[in-house]
Amino acid sequence: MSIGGPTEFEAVTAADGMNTDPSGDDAPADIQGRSLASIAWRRLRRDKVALAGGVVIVLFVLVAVFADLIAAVYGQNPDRQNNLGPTSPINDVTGLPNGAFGGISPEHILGVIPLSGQDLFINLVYGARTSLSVAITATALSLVLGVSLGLIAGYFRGWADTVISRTMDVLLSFPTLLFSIALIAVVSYINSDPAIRFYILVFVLGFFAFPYIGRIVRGQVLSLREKEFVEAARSLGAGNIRIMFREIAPNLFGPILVYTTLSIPNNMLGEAGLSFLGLGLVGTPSWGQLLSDANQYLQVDPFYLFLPGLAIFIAVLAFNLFGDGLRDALDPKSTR
Amino acid sequence: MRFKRKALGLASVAVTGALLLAGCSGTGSGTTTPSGGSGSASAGFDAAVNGVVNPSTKTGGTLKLLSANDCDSWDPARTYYGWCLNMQRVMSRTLVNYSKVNGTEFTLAPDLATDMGTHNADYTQWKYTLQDGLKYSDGETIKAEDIKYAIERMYAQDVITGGPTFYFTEIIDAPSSYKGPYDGKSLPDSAVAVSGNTITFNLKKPFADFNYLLALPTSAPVPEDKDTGATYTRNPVSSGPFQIENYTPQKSITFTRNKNWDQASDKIRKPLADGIDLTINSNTEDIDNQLEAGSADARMETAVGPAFRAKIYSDNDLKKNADDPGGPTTRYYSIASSVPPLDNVHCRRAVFYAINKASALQIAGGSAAGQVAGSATPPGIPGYDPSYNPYPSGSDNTGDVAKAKEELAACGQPDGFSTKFAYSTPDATNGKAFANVRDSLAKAGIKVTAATTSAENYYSTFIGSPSNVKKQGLGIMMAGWGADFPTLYGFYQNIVNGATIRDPGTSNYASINDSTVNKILDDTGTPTTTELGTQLNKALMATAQFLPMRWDKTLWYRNSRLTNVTANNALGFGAYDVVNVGTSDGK
Repeated sequence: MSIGGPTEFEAVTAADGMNTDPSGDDAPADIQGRSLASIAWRRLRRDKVALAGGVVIVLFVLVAVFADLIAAVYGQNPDRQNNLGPTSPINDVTGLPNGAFGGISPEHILGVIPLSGQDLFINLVYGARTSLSVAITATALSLVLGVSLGLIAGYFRGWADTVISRTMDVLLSFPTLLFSIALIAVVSYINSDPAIRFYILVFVLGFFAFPYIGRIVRGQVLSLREKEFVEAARSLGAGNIRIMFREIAPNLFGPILVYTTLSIPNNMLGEAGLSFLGLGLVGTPSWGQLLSDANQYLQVDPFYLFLPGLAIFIAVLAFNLFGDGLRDALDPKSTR
Repeated sequence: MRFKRKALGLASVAVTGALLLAGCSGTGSGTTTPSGGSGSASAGFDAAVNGVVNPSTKTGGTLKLLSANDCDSWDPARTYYGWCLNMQRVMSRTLVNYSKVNGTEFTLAPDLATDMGTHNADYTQWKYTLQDGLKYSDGETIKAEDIKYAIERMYAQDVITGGPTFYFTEIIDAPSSYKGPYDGKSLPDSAVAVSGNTITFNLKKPFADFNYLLALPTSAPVPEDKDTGATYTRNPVSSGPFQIENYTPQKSITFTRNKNWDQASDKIRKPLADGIDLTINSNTEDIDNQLEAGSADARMETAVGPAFRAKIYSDNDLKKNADDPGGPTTRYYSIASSVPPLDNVHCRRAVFYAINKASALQIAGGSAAGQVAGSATPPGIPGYDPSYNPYPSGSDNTGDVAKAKEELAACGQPDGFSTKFAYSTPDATNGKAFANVRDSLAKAGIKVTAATTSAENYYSTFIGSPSNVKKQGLGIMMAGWGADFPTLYGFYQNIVNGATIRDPGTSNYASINDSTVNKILDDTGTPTTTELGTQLNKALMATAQFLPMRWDKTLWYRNSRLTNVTANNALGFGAYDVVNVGTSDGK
C-alpha cells in the first residue's frame, strides 16, 4: 500500500469486510493479510525521525566497513605523521595545528591532531570501526546470554529460574566500572596482545549487560508459555526444545530487536568511556582515546575536542532515535 | 635518578606517570659559588638554564609549589625521582654536594665535610672529616656515626627500597651476609670506620666517582634513635635549612625553616624563603592554569603540559618566565636481540635506518623537547658528539627506506618482518609515538603491533624482565634514562653493563652485553675521559640494540615574583633549585 493510503485502522476495518461502500470497485484490492513485520514497517516508515536515525546508522556502518577504501581514496592513513616541513599543518614550535578550526584544509578536511599531525577525519573513520565493532560484538554477547538464559528461566521456572534470576540480580548490583578497570589492568599486564584488549572490552560491556535483556525475555516467556498455541504444540507432542525455539522464541523478536538498537549506543558510550580512561583498545584509533587526548588541548585547540565528541553524540543519538521508533512501531499499544 | 613523567590520564583513575630512571651530571672540579648556580641574568627565556634569574638577598615569603604526584619517598635513602632528589636539597645534607647545578658542567663542594675528602692511590679508600657543631632540626648533634648508620640501612633491602642504594652496597666492602642494622648488627670497621669526626669508606674495588655518589641524598645522615625504618619517609629528621612541618602523603608537604641549621656551616645553600608549600594536585591542567595566573610559583615534577607549552611559545610575556634546559638524558628505543628476527644485527639495523626520528621529536614537543640523537651519549657525558651518527635515518632523520631494505635483504628478510613495540598506557603521547613507529617502519615492510601495560609495571616487570621480553616478543621498547651523575658510570652502568642484567628488575632492557662496553664500565678506578667515552659510545652503537631517539630538554615555568632562580640540571632534570629561591614580594 502506498504512503498516504488508509490508516491501519481503516485497513483493518476494510479487511474485516466492514466497508460501508458495497459497490466500491477498488475495495477488493485493499483487502490483504499483513504480517506483524509489514505493519511495523509501515509505521516505521511514517516516523521520519526514526528513519533519519536509521539512515545515519547505515552511513556509520558503511564508513566503518569501507574505512580502508576511504583512506585510500582520501590519501591518508591514521598513523601518518604530518608534522614536518614548511607545508606541515603543525606549527613546529607550539605543536598545534596551523590555521583556524584545528587546521582544516583541503588535505585535512577535519583538521589534524596536535603534535603528530595525524589526520583527524581518517582517525574518526577508523574510530567508527572500533566503536561499532566493539559495541555490536558486545551486544551480540549479551543477546546470546540474555536470550538463552531468559528462555530457560522463564520456561522451566523452578530452581533454574531461581538460580538464573538471582545471578542476574547479583550482576545488576555489581560495581561494573570498577571491576572493568581492575580486570583490564590485570589482564593486560599478563598478556599485552592488543587482541586481548578487544575480548576484555567485549566481555566487560556484554557480559554485565545480559541481565537486562535476560529479565525482559524471562518475563515475556512466563506469559507466552501459558498461551494456547504453546498448549497446542505440547498436546501435539512437541518437546521442550522445539517449543522454546520454534514456538516461543519467534514471538520475542520485537523486544530483542528493540533491545539491540538501544544496547548498541550504550556499549558505544561504554567503549568511549573506558578508552577515555586509557582502558580501551591500543594501537587502534578510537573516539574515546581521541577525546582523552583532546581534553588537554581544550583551551588552545577546542575543535579537536569537539569533533570526536560530535561523532559519539551523533552515533549514539541515531541509534537511540531509531531504537525508539522501532519500539513504537513494534508495539501498537505504545503511546507517544 | 628516577624521572616522574606527567600523568596524561584523567578523571577518576589514578594514573601514575611513566617512571623513567634518570639522573644528574657535572664535572668534579672548579670553583664553588654559594648560590647553587653561577652567573646571573635578568629574567628572560632560558635565563635560569645557565644563570641565576633575579639575584636577590631579600628574605621572607613562602614558596607555593605544585606537583601532580607525591615523591616516591621523602626518606633520603629511598628517594630516586629526579625532582625529589632536587627537593631533598632543602632538608638533607651529605658529606659532599653540588654547589653549581645549572648549565651542563656542575661543581661539587664539601657540605657536611670540611673538605672534599682524601682517597688512596687506587681509589679504594675514601676518608672525610665532619664539621664540628652541626645540628639536626631536633637540636641533636650530627655525628659521623649517623652517616655510617645511613650506609648500614641501605643493606636492609627489604625495608629501604627504591633508592639508588645499589651504588653503595655494590662497592662498599661489607660482609656478604650483612642485612642491615635492624637486627642489631652494624658494619665492621673494615667496611666503614668512624673515629671521632672522621669517617672512612673501604671499597671492594677502585671507585673514582665516589664523591658523586655522596652528592646524592642517599647517604644523608640518619640518627639511629629517630629511624623508624619503612615509615621514616613520614618524618625524616632534617640536617638542611628547612624541616618538614606537616606532611600528608599524596596531598601536601610544608617546610619551615630549621632553626638549628647554621648558615656559616653551609657554603652551598643560601635560603631566602621562610617556608615551602608543596601541594599535590592530580589535575595537571589546573596546575598549568595556576602557573599562568601567577597563583602558584612553580611546578616541580615535570614539564608543563602541551597546551601551556603552546601558550608559552606564542606569548612573549609568558615565554620570558620559562626555561627549557637540557641535561644528560637520552630517550631511546631498546631493541631486544632475544626476539627473532632481531637476533640478526642486520634486522636491527633496518629498524635503525627506517625510523622517523624527526616526527618522534615533534610528537614529544619539537625543539622544546630536545634534539634528535644520532648516538647514545647525551650532552654533559664524556664522549658526547652531536656529529656522530653511525646509522643515519636519512638526511632529515625521517627514515632511509633504501638503506633499511638493503639491511633487510642482508638479514634474509627482504619482504620485512613483524615485531612488537612496547610502551606504557595510558599516555596519548606514547600512542602517537607508536603510530609514528608503525608508520615509518611499514614503509620498509616491517610490521609493528602494539604491546602495552600500565605505567606502574612497565619498567619494573614488563620490559625490565628479560624473560618477559622474550616471552611476549617485545622487539622494540620505548625507554629513557638520565645520568645519576655526569660520568660514564653514572649514565651507563645501569642501562648497558651486562653485569646489571637481572630478571626482573634490570634497567638493561635489551640485555646488552658487549665486552668493550662492560670493560670500560667495570674499570671504575680510572676517572672518565673523553676518549673512553667515545670508545664506549662507538662500541654501544655497534651492537645496534640502543636506538637513540632524542637528547631531552624539559620546559619549566617560574612565577615572575621568584628571585634567585636557577635550574637544577644536576639532580632534577632542570627543575628549579628551590632551596635558594626567594620571593620579591616577601609573601
